[in-house]
Amino acid sequence: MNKTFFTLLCSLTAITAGAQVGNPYIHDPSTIAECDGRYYTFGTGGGGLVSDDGWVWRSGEEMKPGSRTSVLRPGGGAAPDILKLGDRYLCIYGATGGGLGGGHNGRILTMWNETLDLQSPRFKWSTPVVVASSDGLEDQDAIDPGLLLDPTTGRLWCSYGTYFGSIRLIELDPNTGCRVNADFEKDIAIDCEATDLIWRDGWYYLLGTHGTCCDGVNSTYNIVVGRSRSVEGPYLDNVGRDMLHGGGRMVIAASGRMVGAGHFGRTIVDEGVEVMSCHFEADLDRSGRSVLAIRPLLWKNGWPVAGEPLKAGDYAIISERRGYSLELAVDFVRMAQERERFWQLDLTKPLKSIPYQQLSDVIGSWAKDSIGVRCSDYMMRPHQHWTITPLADQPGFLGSPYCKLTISGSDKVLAATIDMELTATTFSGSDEQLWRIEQLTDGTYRIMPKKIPGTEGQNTRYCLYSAGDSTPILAPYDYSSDNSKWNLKKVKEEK
Amino acid sequence: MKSLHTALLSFVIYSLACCPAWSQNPIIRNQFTADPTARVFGGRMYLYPSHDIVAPAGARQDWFCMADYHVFSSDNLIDWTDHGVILSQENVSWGKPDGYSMWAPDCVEKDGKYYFYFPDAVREGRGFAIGVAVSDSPTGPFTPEPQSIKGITGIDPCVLIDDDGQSYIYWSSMGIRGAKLKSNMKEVDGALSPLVSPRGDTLFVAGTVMEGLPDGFKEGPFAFKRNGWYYLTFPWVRGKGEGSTECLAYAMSRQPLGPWEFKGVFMEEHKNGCWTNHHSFVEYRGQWYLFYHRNDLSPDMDKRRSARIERFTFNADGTIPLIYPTAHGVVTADSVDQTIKQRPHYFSRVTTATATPDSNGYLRRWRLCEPVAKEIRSNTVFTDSYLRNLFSDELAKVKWKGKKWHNLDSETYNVRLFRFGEEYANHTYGSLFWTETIIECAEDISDVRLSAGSNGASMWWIDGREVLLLSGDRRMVEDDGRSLQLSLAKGKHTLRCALVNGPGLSDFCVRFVDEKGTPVTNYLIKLP
Repeated sequence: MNKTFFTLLCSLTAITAGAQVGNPYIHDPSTIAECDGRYYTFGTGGGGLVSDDGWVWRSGEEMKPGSRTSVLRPGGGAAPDILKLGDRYLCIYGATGGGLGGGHNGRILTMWNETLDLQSPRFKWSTPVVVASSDGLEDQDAIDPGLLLDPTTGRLWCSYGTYFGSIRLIELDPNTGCRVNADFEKDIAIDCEATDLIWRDGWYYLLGTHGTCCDGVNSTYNIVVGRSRSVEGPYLDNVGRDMLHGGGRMVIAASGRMVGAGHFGRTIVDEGVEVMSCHFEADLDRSGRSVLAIRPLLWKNGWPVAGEPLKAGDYAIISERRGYSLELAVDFVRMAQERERFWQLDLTKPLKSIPYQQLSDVIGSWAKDSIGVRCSDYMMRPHQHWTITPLADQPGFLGSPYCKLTISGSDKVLAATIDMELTATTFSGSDEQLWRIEQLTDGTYRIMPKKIPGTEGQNTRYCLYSAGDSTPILAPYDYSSDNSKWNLKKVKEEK
Repeated sequence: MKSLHTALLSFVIYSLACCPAWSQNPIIRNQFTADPTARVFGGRMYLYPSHDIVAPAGARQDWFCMADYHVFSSDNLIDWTDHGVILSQENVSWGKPDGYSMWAPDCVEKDGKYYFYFPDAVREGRGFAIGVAVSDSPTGPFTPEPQSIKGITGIDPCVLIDDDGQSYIYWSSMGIRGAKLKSNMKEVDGALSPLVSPRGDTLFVAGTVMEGLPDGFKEGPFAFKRNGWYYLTFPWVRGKGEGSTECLAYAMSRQPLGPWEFKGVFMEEHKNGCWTNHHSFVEYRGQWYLFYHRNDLSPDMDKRRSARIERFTFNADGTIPLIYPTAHGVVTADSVDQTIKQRPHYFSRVTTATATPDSNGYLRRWRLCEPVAKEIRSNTVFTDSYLRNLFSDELAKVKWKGKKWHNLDSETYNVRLFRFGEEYANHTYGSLFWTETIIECAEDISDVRLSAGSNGASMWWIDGREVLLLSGDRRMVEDDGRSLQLSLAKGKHTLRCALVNGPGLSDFCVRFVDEKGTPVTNYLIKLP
């Protein structure tokens, strides 16, 4: 790692609460795109962000020192979206009067690039093509486009519009980026901004942003959703209200130290692993600046819900398979208790509070070097409590930093072994001791070592896996199996 | 003769199958309209094109043929009104009465007078001169001056009135020339200088050749000013070869008469081979437009051209982007009928004695008060106490201010206050609206709730009693808030709403619902 860069990162270690690190300053971020191992997102104005790992972000302008205009995306414009289609990237964006004093005569344009890496000789945007416009008089403003490639039909759809009138649906040609059937356009919602269409499990979802934009820490921006069996709608919310009548179910509002969520984008990482990107109008830890946020995307009863970033703290790690707790393979130490016969209770005797078992009560009996790891009944014991420490100042993965898992109060950290087994040992900072923890769409977690000793590169396949109820190993992730899934239970009260 | 022209033109246009049903370009289809100069006067767009016609017998058949000028106007850039002939060649005393050379014109307004500049073939001798005709109205009639402008031989006049009131005229004559105009708008300011024409004659001409422009044939200058920059734009033959035709190019300067810095091409040569192009730039309601021409309605003869329009946005550094000719013009790429002519009317005047709620229970008949202007930057200021104070203060004022009230039926279930304000008071953002309606119950209606949603914060009263407050930055959401349960006794009740909004598309929807949430519809709406 570059030394200056590292220093920069260290100065930001105070920032927790789920902010992306580096300089993640953006407004109206596009759905995150991946190109040659890097992540990109583009916002209103010239700005774009780029990241090597999906956690540490820098401005695209930093890539070309002294440049004041975007080198990543020409033409300025507003609120773009980017979608990889075949070998190329389609960028769609709005060029508008900007509303209010600026008029509502907007245009939506598309353009192509073979790569998003501006160092590449192939980096060149095609001439933008207008695919939709608004005349400034009608109840519509052509701005804020979002793209959906329908996985069931291969057809490409675009929703666009803002608070000024309707959200409109048009179809584009996925080969050219041009409009298909200029006579077709359909209003599918009102009073939204920054809409995005997604498809999942037979449903089309329309996400829109409600509330106040651009008012810093007082912005009430929030993301709502409706769904339909047809891409053309009607998009109804959870009480059956049409988004054309203002309907919508909350996906994300203010949370943590962040206020004003807007401009949804969904990224599918793996089966059952999804994240959503958005901006928050204000990060209370960063002078109230508008920042990029990436959150787990959960699905509850067919509705998308934003998950929370994983907070540092003490947890029990409970298997979804049996409900057993991940623990050190050490002797079970009995707790002392003055026993009473339950058929002979003396009800006049004062009650006593029995303290939890403490680490100091048991640690003396533990081995000094490596200790095995297994699962067993959760008994609120010290060898079952793990301190999760997100390493925010180091490179991470899409949306999150890697974590250290330490038996609370001890020096024993969870580590992967060359034999695809687990051990608890002292922390060296090496990659097999760093864990990628991701909340799955059903709310459980998968837990993967960053690296498995003896294998090349980063691990994105093997996860903590219940081979037997009591036997955790490393095995290929399989969303359809509860063996791959874990629950994290906060244990602050149980220590 | 005229009917023959019309018949010919109809035939020409009928035989064209090139225009998709939803296209706007060309914008005028019952006659040819070349060299369009668009100007905004009094909030309306006026178009001064030259008027190509099919050459009558005796006139040269393979050349431009123009005998008069029409003016057109529009307030939506879609529907154009033809105000008829404003000047004919036989009415120009210095011009050749059968010259058919009424080429590209311009028109500007100064001190309530409209000055129409036009070229014409001179009555005596050869060549073109430029004249002025004056009117009290942008649609004429225009009275031409007895003489052409002294010192100007050439075509394609364009006049720029600078912010300080000084006017400049630009025209085409062996290059593009420019000169100051005197304040009477009819004479060039400054001495004439000798110039030897290619034919060997010595002419005394006004102004100077514009410096800094590229080599190659140039004509049709159009100059304008934006953000401290002067733009000189012109058709230009950049190619050297035999088949070269005109593209549109431009130069910029901090001075009205240059020297100019050439900036390049903003519209490429017409792909169909149409030799000329000629254009104007205009800003209308905050949006810039390019007018230009192509021979869409005369594909086999490029001397009969039709005006077209494109919307564009300047680059951030003030340069002009490359603009492409489109079929759809400034209309969304669908039919004019759908987006413009069938735009909702939003409201109609009440014509019946009573109304009923619609089938979903929404009240659509209201007395609406013209909005009270309120400077509001962000709607997050709409706290409960702010609203209660504002509304109690303002209601009293509205009553004695004599604001006008309108009895209207809403065409939509949601009452579009933004559009009401726009149409009835020319006021949209930053508004406080008062609305009320009278409901008449034939029997007691018990255990109902008022159910409302509003874009903008709103407060609701029945018979003067507050029943619902929607505070904060609201979006119009059906059934956003509901009142406590209430009963409407047999007889009349006043339902009043105040709604305030800063930057939003103000509207509301309101109905009564019963205990199960079913809409209540068994009452009448009667405005006094």
